[in-house]
Amino acid sequence: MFTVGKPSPGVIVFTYAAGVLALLLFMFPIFWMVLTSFKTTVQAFSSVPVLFFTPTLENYREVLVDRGFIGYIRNSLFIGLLSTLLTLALAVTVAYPLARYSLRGERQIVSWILSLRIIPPIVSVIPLYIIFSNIGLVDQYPALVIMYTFMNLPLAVWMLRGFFAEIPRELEEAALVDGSTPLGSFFRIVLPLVAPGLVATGMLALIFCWNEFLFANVLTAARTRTAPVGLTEYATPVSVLWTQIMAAGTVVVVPVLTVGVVIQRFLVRGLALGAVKG
Amino acid sequence: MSAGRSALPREQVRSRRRHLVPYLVMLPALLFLLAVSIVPLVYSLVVSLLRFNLMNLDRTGFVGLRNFQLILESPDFWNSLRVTALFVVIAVGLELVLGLALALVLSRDVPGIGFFRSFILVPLALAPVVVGLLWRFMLNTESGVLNWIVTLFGLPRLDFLSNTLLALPIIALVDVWQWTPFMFLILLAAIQALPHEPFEAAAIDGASTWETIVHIALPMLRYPILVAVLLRTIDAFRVYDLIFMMTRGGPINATDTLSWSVYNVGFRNFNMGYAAALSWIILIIVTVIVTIFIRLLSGRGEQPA
Amino acid sequence: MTGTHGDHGNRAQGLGETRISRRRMLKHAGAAGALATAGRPLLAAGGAALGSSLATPAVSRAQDGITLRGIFLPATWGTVTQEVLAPEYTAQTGVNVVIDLIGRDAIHDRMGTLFVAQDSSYDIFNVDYNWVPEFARAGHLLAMDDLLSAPEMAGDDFLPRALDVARWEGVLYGIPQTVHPHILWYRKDLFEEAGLEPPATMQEWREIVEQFQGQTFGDQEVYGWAAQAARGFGNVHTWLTFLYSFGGSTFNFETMEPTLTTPEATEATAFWADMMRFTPPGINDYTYDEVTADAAAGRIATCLQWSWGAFAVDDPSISKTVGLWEFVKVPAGTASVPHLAEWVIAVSNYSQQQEEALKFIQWLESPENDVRQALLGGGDPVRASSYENPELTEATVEGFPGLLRFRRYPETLEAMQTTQPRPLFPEEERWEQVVSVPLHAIQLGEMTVEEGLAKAQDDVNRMMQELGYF
Repeated sequence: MFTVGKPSPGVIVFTYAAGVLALLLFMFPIFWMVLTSFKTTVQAFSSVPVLFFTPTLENYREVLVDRGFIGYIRNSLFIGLLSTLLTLALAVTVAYPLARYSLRGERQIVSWILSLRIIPPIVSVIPLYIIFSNIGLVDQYPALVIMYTFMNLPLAVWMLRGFFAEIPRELEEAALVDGSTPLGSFFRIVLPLVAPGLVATGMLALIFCWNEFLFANVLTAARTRTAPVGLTEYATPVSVLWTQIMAAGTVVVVPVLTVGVVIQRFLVRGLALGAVKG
Repeated sequence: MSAGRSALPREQVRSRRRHLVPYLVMLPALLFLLAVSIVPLVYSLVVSLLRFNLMNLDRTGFVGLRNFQLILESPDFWNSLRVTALFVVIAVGLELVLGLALALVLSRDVPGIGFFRSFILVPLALAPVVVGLLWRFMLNTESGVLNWIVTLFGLPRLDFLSNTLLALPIIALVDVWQWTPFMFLILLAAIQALPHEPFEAAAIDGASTWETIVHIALPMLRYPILVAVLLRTIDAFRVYDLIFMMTRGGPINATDTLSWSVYNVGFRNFNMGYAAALSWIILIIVTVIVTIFIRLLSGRGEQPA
Repeated sequence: MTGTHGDHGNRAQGLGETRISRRRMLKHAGAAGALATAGRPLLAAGGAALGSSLATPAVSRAQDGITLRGIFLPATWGTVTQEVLAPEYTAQTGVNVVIDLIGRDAIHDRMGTLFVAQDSSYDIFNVDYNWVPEFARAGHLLAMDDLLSAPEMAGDDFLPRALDVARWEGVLYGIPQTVHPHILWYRKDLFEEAGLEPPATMQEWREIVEQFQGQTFGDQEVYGWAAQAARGFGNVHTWLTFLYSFGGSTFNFETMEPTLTTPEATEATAFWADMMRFTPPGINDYTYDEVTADAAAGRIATCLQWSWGAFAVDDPSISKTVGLWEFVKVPAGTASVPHLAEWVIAVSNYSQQQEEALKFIQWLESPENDVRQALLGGGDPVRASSYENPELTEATVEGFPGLLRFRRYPETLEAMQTTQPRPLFPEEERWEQVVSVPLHAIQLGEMTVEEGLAKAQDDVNRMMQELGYF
């Protein structure tokens, strides 16, 4: 950018060097977690780090089989998927009209929705816990589905509005001329075109649900305990089972990373669009 | 998708119809947002005026502003406020500097740069709970790999997380590790969207890279920088997962942030009246900060762009 | 609710009142509360439907029988219950017992949040005894006096002090599962090499740890002593043994005024703070784990540690000091008064299977299973008879003939005569948090002993005032 034309060899070397350094810094902890998850406790607690060892799957067996972590992952997935679908459905009903029509009060609606992101979760969790415990929703799936939908909806509206706005109006108008209903043209023309945006937004919402801890910690127990809550319960003041924690951590992180790498292109665009263009 | 399509001005292609239909379509979602945001806040305000401990309901009663008074008189509150502010300043400040530097360097189009750009974003996707535990493990005094690195430099092992001076900056650094990629992401996109002409002109004038950055790029990046800093400030202000996983407020009370205080009062002491009052104070503080930022942002029209 | 437990009717009444007062509170809270209550049937129905449509294996109820669900601590008594005893009970009775293992603080917080929601998904809880007053006063725990007096329970056999801490206002709310008072651990081999006898007084101990600090035995540098010192319950537990052994007290229990700045408290705290100089680096983060790890690695000459933890140093797979540790009672300041740690088992008042839960507890804490828990590597026994049972007193460490596996028992039993609990009142958990902070400041040298105690006294005073004690 700042060197107009072809970058000089010096610049290229410097760029690569910076990139490699950044990569090391950002990736090493994750590498270390995965490595530790295959160690025995003795290897993990060696004061000189052990790099070469015979890997053991014992930690994964303990975590997934003995400690019921699979059940927590299933809860996380179920709650996350349900909430993501609900988020997308609701977000479309707001984002599309905002993008397509010039509405009275549009600015106010948008800034109100975005301002909801400002409320710290710790502020909402106190009253919501009391309300939910009075209506019998603690440790029930709807509690977290509601909370996560609320948490993700503003961002989803924001991102989807950008994606909808990019679809040329003419395509829809052409469909209307051909005798399609507005609803029909929305489903047949607009929705397929915005599908990549929906996937990106949905994945982002899913990742947020998957990683969330505060609400899950307060609102779940035996029935609905999610993976992050299950994970923290390993770190007890009496004994911290580090190798198992690293295995559970790896289990929590790997699917997110896989999904993240696949959809990253859309995500980056969706996130950056709003910030750059306001 | 090309950037060209989005450049179409919406007004030209949009009809001026003012139906009720769009509003009706939006209504359920807006009502949902309203219900889940306003109801708890109002409820919380009511609770904040009560003496209300879930483990001692017999003493429940209206106490007016007593909870707020207790909070403002409590040294713990002022400590939490100081700790939180320090955390936000250290974390967001470093994230901005590092994220901007990284975005400037990696904005150059050299072959294979996409690989680096992608993998730098990885920490963003991790659950903060995992991040906290992972770093606590790496910082362990006796067996932590980071302490092993410290010994390579001939230094004694450090009790990173039980040192009153180090604990908070260390947790802030963990936040920096996880969220610098976010700054990088936003600022890289902003840099790539900058027009070429000013830079070509600067090159013709023989300006150095440093001068180009300071005098041309930064002023044009003012708005995305403010947005990114605002978003990160809002998030850093609520830091909870990292504290929960790494220090639980210690050593002494050196990492006792506001969010952690609310959790502690609400869900360890079950003192909901006090917790609700404290959370309202937090909400007010955050709102003030955001308002200041928005003032700054709305001044952007005066800047050359 | 079961009608067979005499005192239970009264408790249930008390509970009813609690519920009413919550409703009243909701009315106070106005429209928001009304809205919340009105929404209940609809949302709860949705929740139930969802819950049943997605039965995870972890919560599935056995179709043909009863499933009890409990939370235990992931310490050895919890794992033994989860892995060995619960499955055995299922095999014998057909009652399925599912045990989740959760950390200490998390158990407390989870119990509170679930009780308030009147959640019935958990029936049984492993409870640190200091929470009994808090949850009992609020009406969340089932009274257990009838269980204790049942003939097959042999209630007289329980260690008296172990039972006392599970009572609130005269009613028993928990059956002890394991006790572990502080005892002093010392390295017999190092003491012999140095020509020392185990200390009987705090002064003697102080001289010994100073002498050992920094010495090298073989190629191992040794520190004087270690104990839990992390912020939270850890440093409070250790400090309490010093406080009690110097004749100090936490409260004037007549008035509930804190007594943290008395001469006894100051002397005890100063002694403890001074002793902290002869500990390993990183001590201020030490929990049970680090103390055990140091003991097993041979890095410390003495330690103040829960009696139960001694099994770990006799395990050759993790310890370099098998058979080298011996145990004596805590050194005396004015007297030897160790702090008591103990876990009890309680039943939720919202459990819909209280009778079954009580049956399981009766089985788990029967004289026979008290011994078996110890033999399986669980916690130390809670019954006097177990401490005389040859199955335990004559047991040796596997692969080490002649090395008595439970050689700590005589000292543990003696400690149970003089041990003192944490102050028993409903806000004790909060009190521990409050006191822990200035104690940590003293340890880290951020406050002098006098400043720290003054702050502790102030903070506790403010807390007791806020709570309406005076």
